[in-house]
Amino acid sequence: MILLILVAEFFRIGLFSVGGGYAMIPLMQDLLLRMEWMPATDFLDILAVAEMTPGPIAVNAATFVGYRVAGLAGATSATVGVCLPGFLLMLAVARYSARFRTHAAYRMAMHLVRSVVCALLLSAALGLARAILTDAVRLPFGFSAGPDAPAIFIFTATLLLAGRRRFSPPVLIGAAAAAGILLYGPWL
Amino acid sequence: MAALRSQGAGWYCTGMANPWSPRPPDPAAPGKRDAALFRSFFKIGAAAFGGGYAILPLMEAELADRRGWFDVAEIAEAYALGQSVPGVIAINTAALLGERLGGRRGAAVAALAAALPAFLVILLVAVVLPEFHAVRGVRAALLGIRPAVIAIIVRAALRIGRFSLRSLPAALALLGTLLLMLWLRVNPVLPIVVAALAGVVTAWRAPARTHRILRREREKTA
Repeated sequence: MILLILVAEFFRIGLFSVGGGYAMIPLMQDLLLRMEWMPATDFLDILAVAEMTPGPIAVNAATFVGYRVAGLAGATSATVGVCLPGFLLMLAVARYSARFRTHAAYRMAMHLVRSVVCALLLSAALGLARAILTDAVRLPFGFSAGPDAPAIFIFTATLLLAGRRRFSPPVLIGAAAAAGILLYGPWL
Repeated sequence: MAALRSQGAGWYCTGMANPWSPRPPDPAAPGKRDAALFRSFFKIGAAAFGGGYAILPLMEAELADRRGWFDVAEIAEAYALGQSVPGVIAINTAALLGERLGGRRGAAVAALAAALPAFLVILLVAVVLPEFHAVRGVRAALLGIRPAVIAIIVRAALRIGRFSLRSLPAALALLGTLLLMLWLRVNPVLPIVVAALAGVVTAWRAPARTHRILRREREKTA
């Protein structure tokens, strides 16, 4: 039963994520919150692993979520589910070689969907930020800080560096891991 | 290499004229072809650090430069198509290119091979990660990585939405979705479907305006 749910839910995610891996982040977050499969911080860790490892982020994240929910069979179901809609659509596209990409209606629809995806990503980022910033950071001598200064620093630095070509996501994640060890390590 | 290809070296060189030409004659036995397809796409999937966005240069290097199955323009067009259909861009593109080389079977082989490295690596990580969670350094590293992941998501949002404030309908879609998500927490599929329908209706009822918006977007992309 859980496998059927995984296939169906990830099929839906694959079907409605237009614009690649990042577009499915809000959909996946919505699914995890609805099903209460894991807390938002765990989802962040999954995304971190997905960014660091080779392969499409959507496949990485789907495999990981599926594995956490139902082991190897779950990982397979979620991955097949998320890849299937695009695969079938591509077969149809290849077969009938529809030149739909040049149609004004299609391109206008995509123009607007991209805006929506942008907004969905921003709201997902806000939700995730809320999830980590409420974790009060423990400082030495029993103090704890509400606003997580190291997190804000790492966030800002990554945001500024991420625009450049040299700083691909794996490089940024590696740098953030090093910063985390330096900034959080001594107090854990 | 590029010159060789334009003269028709390799067995799938239609040049730029018609990327949708019928499949080329296949010199290899189907089994052999499937194995070659699998190896190539597995390699692409295994090297694609940073997600599907990194896959285009890898496909060019493997499928055009090394194998000579396609030329760069064909791969770029397949990538563009893979991007405009919902789903996982890398898998879509692999399926399309695989279909052109070996029909449905080729598509299945290519898509499977492209997804497999990611699947296997994640299984490994998922099994090993809980063990590592007990290590203090790993927990500190994860604390540092979390804000960086959020920053990368924000950056991706800005990249996807870089044309969103240049047209009124797109700006309305952006703001409307933000308000819907932050206040009402609707299902994210809803604004996607509504925006797609609104786009079709706009193109149908206001063709001149649609044309203007799309032309401006094309100029900025080029």
